[in-house]
Amino acid sequence: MSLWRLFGASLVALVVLVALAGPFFVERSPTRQDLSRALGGPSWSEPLGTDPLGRSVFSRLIHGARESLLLALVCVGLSAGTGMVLGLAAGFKRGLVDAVVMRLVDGLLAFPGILLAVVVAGWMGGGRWALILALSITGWCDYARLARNLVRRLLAEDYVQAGRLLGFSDFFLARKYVAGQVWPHLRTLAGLGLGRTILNLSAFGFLGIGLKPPTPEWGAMITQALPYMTDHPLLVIAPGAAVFLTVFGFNLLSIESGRPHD
Amino acid sequence: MGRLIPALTRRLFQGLFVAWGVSTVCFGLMTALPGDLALRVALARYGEDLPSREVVSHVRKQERLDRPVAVQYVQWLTHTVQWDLGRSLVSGRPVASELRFHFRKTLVLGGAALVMSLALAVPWGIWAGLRPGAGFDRFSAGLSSALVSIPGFVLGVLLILALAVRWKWFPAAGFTRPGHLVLPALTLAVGLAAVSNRVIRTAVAEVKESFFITFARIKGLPSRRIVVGHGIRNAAAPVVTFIGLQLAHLLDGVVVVENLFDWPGLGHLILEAVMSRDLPMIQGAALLIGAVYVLVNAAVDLICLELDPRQAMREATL
Repeated sequence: MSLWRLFGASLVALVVLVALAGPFFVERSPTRQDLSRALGGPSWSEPLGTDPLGRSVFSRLIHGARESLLLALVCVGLSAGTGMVLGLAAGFKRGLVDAVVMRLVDGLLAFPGILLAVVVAGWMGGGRWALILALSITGWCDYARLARNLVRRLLAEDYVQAGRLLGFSDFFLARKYVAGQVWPHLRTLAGLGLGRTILNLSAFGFLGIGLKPPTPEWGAMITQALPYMTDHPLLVIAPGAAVFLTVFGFNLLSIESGRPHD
Repeated sequence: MGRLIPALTRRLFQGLFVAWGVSTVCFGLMTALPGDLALRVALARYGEDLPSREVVSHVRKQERLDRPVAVQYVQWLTHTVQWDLGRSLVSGRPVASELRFHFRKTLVLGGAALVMSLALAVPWGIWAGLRPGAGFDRFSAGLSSALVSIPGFVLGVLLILALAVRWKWFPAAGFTRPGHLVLPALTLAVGLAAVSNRVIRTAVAEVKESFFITFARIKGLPSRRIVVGHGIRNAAAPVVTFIGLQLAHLLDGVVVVENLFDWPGLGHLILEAVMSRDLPMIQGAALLIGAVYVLVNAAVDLICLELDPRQAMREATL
């Protein structure tokens, strides 16, 4: 099974490399239009052809990788940070803090997430921060649950009890005992979260409530190419494959590193 | 039955609370939007040409958008408890009848998708679960991960390109003939089956290894009776729970798939309503979806109690 994981890791490494270094090697701008070259097929200078506005599909894909990865990192970072802090607080403090945080989690998970996301993303006509909020508004719940349950389980252990009796602060206990235990779970959640966020981001782009149009974004590229897909299927397949390979990479990497296959 | 009544009452109140919460949050978000609500509505109603100031102020007067937000909210709430969801700001038609039409379309699509996904996932999951760790199981784990990673709209586009454009088996978009249902439902079904086949596989693998199956075997029961009498029922409880969860999340996929295939369901309706700031429509849809969410969850709980009475005992002791 570790062969799958290796495959996932290399996919992720490839996408990260493309996102970091790619834009320096592609000469054509992802937004420069040239109607005289609209819908040009693949060639040596344009490996993936040009879109209906004559923009380079290859260049848009590569710049799109940067947009997607960066946004996903911000969203997952925000979710993980917020969730861990709130979850740790709920786990250690119990009482009111615990009740408030966990009811909030229950409430958000009882919510039809997509409705909330569409409304939030439609907010301000889809500014970047509204988009980040829409993508991570329910994302922190998983992390909060994880942290809280882990703390509760650890607090029952004899050695942690002993530490408490010795007068160690909650912060020290969290750093000393929880941090080591939480890492493998956190890695799995964050990896899956990155994949899911990229998937949702592309879906928002596809629906027209994602990043604003001239920005190269994989989902929006597909929407723009839909009317031409019968004659130019590559315009749809190329960004579709980009989303798929990125998400597949993150999923393989995190599923295999966490629990064995299920 | 005695313990069902309080459980159902609690569910009912919970449902009302969630539905109210969802629609109130939506109301808050929509009215807190920067920009002129009346202008947005006028744009949606009279086309993209910039409407004149008179038109906008007419819309504002007519729809009473000039009142304070709190007044608008209280008004909406009092109308809603009298089963009056109001009229769409854009089309002027009653929200309730629009919702009924679109909800029915989504039910048809979601139902077809669920049936198709079960037809795919049940044999697939059982086959993998009977021999966990074998070649087919490992292959199916990889295939499931791959299918989960494909965005719904990309899968839909691929299906259109292959089955509608190239081989012309099914129509690509529309909603008038039954054939129109196939591609959108299949798109949703593949996404659902990609996850549920793993849940079925794990349930089957666990039941197969369990003590009661070994016992039945030692007792000398024929394997058909073991599977039918002990296997299916025990494996079903986690699967039903999961399918209920999936149904609730089916809505996520529905928004994308309906917009790709031009299927006039709730997902289509919601997106359009958000784009044109059609407040009463969003409110109504939010109420409906919140209620459906809770209903589905309650139904799943009841079915699981029926399938596995041990759960009821556990809950009673809590």
